Amino acid sequence: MNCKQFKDILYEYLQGNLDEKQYQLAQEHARHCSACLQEMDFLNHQLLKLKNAKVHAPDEKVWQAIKEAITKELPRNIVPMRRITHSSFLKIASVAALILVSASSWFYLHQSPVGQNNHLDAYLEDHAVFIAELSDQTTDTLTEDDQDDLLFDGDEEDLDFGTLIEDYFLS
Amino acid sequence: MIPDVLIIESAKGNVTAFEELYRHTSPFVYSVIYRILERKEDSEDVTQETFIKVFQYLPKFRFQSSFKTWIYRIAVNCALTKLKKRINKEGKTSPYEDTILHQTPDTSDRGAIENQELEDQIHTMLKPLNPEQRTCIILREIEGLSYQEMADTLKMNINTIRTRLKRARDILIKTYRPERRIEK
Repeated sequence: MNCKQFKDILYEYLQGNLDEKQYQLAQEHARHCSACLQEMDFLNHQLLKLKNAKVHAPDEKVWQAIKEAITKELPRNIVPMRRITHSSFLKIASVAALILVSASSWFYLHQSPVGQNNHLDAYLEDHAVFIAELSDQTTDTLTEDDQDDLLFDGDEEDLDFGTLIEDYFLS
Repeated sequence: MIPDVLIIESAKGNVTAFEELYRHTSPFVYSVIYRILERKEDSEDVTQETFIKVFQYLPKFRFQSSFKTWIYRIAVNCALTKLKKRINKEGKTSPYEDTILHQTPDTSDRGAIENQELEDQIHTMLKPLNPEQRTCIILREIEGLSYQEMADTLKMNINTIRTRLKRARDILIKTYRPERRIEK
């Protein structure tokens, strides 16, 4: 190791950051080169001074000035926190509203008479039969009982509103 | 170690918690600022500015970085901005005085005299460094930050930090070392 190489790694040598091989080479060089040894001692001494530098503390008046400033500006300063809170509240409210709408829809479809599958199936089956009857039969071919069913005889019990769904809502 | 609860409470605008946070952090914040500026009055102004900014921006601190490097970053930025303004205003090549002003220590207090001597030596040692080199040396050698912490504080690549530190140390050696003969 020459002087230039030693100088390049001097700081890491002093910090103990070299691997074993480099450390031994540096140590060997310093042992034989008084100029580098002198430079190493000098740098070490300077760094030690910096490490022992006094910690300065600010005067109490600095805190008083800070306190005054932040107390005056407090409403403005906490705006970001309010925004965050407001934003979080909106998110929670949106999720709650979504859950409520979903639950209502589910309840309507599964619990109400119209929404229940068996009613719907029965309705569709009756409707299919009705359409089939309309297409396959004419009133001429209907039996007397059938014709009676289709004609209003003035009895409100037999009042027919058309389809079964209309019956459901209008009767 | 700064308790997280102090940071969280301060972020909510709790002045008592913020005062405690200030008591924990102000010595090292003020020391860094003072070493960069070397004027008590300027350092106090910048410390004040730093903590007002800390209070303002704490709600945005997300614990993704160390609080210490975050606060160092604000302090260093405020101090360097102040230093640039001083250079522009005073039009000097070096923003530092030839000698540092001290209050006269009590001559019977040996510790105070030694402290002042050390302060004078540090002032002399740091004087030939430019503000960026000086900041690197302060953070590394006085405050004891790691290369990674320095990179986070100064928002710089670690290699740039190493280069700046090496140049700064070379200047320290070249300026103050005893004459030597370079061996080939």
